[in-house]
Amino acid sequence: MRKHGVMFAAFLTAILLSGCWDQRELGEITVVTGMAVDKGEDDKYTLTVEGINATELNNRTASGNAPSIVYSAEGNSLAELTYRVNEGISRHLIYSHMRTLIIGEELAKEGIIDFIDFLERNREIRDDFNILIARGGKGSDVLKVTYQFQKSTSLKLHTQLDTMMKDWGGDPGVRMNDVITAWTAPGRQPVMAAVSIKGDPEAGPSAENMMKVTPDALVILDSLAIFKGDKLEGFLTLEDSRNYLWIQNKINKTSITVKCSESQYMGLRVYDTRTKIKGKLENGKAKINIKIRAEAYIDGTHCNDQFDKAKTYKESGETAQKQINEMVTKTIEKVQEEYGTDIFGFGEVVMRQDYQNFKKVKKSWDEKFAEADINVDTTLIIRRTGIRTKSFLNEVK
Amino acid sequence: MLTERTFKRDWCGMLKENISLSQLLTLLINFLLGSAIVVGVGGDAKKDAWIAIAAAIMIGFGIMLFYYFLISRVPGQNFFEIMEFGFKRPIAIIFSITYVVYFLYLACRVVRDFGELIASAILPSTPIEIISLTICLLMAYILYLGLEVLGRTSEIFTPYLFGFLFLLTILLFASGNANLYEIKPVLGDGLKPVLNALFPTLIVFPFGELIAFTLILPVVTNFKYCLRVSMLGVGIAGSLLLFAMFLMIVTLGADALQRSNFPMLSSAREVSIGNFIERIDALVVFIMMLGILVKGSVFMFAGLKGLEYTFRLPYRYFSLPVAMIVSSFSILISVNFGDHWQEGLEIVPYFLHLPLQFGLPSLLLITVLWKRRKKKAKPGVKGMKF
Repeated sequence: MRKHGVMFAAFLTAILLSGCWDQRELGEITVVTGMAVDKGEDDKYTLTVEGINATELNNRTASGNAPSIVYSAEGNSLAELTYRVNEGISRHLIYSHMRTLIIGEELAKEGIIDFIDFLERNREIRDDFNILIARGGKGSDVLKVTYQFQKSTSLKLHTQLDTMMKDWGGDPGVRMNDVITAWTAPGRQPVMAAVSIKGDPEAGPSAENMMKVTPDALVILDSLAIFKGDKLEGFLTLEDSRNYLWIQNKINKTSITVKCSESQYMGLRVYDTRTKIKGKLENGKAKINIKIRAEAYIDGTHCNDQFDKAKTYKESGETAQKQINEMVTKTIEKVQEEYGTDIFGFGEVVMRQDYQNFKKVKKSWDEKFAEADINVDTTLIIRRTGIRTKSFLNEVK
Repeated sequence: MLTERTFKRDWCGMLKENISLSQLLTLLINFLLGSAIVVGVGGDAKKDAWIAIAAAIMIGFGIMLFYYFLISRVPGQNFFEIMEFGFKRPIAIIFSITYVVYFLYLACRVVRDFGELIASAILPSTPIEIISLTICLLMAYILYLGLEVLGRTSEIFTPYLFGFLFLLTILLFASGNANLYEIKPVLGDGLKPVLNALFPTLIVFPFGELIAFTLILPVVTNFKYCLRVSMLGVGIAGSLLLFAMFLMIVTLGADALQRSNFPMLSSAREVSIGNFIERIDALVVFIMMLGILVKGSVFMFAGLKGLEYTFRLPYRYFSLPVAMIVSSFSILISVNFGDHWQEGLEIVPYFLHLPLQFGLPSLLLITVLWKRRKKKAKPGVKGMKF
């Protein structure tokens, strides 16, 4: 009886513990790190995926071959295409570690809203990848370019954009959910970072490209793509992109150059900055107040300022404040005049602070945004000046 | 070891069971969180869902009080036995069978909720039948061992529930995904959406489902403190639901929350700290699995008690067959997720929950009060203390 009991238990264990239909061995999968979606020639989309070759990413096992395989397939729905790409790639593809999604400019101009649903719905794909526009080209070309350190472009861009955002702020740091929220919630339009290929796109997809000091093709962060609804509307410069982040209170650290006298400049490293926005509608006109507070230290100067006097700190700070005000206002005005799409989310601010009035203009908010009164007010405090007070420039013979 | 206490038998050879107050408390907490935290409740009120839940807690107190009041009229008797007291046994049997079907159907729904969660988010190629079967086998085993085992199971695991929920909160705030401003504007569209979410969906689910506890309250050792503990349980569970909803709103935003089938899971997926602490779905699945296990078991227990009353056989004998019925019907009740969803939101609240949670019990209470009043008139019968 006891024997039977043990056998029964073993049988049950075998059934209950092994019942996983979803297991995949590491040897049977290829991890997808990047995905590019372009306009298809005959069908709606061309999907390009980059499957990583893990041995090439490890310094010890790398032998200098191509770090990844890139394959494209054309069809009308991404959901099908993600499996169809197996017509060229041998192993089962795992999408949960995707790092970048690159969208071709042509497709972005026509509207990209349809295929994002697949990305949101799919259980494997998470909301932790960068979402980028390939400016002036195809997403697939960007994906093919190799790079020295992270080897594949998707991995490179993921690291690069993070670094850029932390140190200076050129990447808006948007993820898929931010884009979707911008589409669905009133009072905001989406933005994305835009990248482009510097050099010869034809030379990108080869291992030789990784071996050069100045690669023949290099993917660079180019600008900020701004949208109206799901359609690409235009591009802003990286400077604007930084200012955009500043308004969003997403800046970690940044550097600004302040003019201190004729053709002489002062570099300021800004840290610990906060932005508060107040917005309301007065007689149908939107009034937005942006308050920026920042701390900074002098990171290099051409002027003969006496940095051992408190007064100098204050004066330099005031100059910098003025410049930041101008800079930020200019960015906003540019968007207001040229595009009239509220990428800054001022509508959201008004909605939160003045909901009853906002409800009336909900549908036509972008028009209200275009003629809104914007007031930027910066307080910048210079705290210290590196490890020197006076500049040696003063004492040069 | 089976002690003397567990072997006490009552009128038809059934084991006398007892659960402690703390076990009752954890059962209540897990029961109320159960599937409510899986599917998310009060979503109709969008940003103000948390207000709807806060209001529902207040009503939940009232509901718990109502069931307690009903139970305490006839001490030591469970819901079905009180029905016999109120009506005659034949009528009580008809009603009992209705309730058996109702409770088992709810157990099916709970198991199906869990199956859908696993099948759509965790293990898509594993047949949902297997998931349902395994969890039902577990429930059958627990109930075969009795309510005491269920109580202890939930008592042991509840600290983990709190721990994981706490951890999830910390991680969500630490990774910067929780944006407190999402909660604004509060009550922007007035009270109407809140009331829409409240009546009847939030009242009957999960708070009205406390009717299953009319079968558990009578076996609590220290009945004196039962009311206090039940109220505490409803309060804690309600606050946890409220907190979870708040957390989901600030992480996902009202729009994504409404689109998510399993909002709690979606918000856990957002966590990513330094590209290192991420993919912590397992924490959430644990919370859900515990809730589902307890809630499913409690419903199944309630159904089994009905069978026990009807057939005068110890309920343990029915546990495995009934669990298998629940397992199969959890698959058969709806062809797809939409069917399951729609049924739960549009049909069940009106045709099952409202009459069986409030209609019939109210009728019963009136009858019992009437009978007791007549009895009280006779000398020698002590009045019940409330």
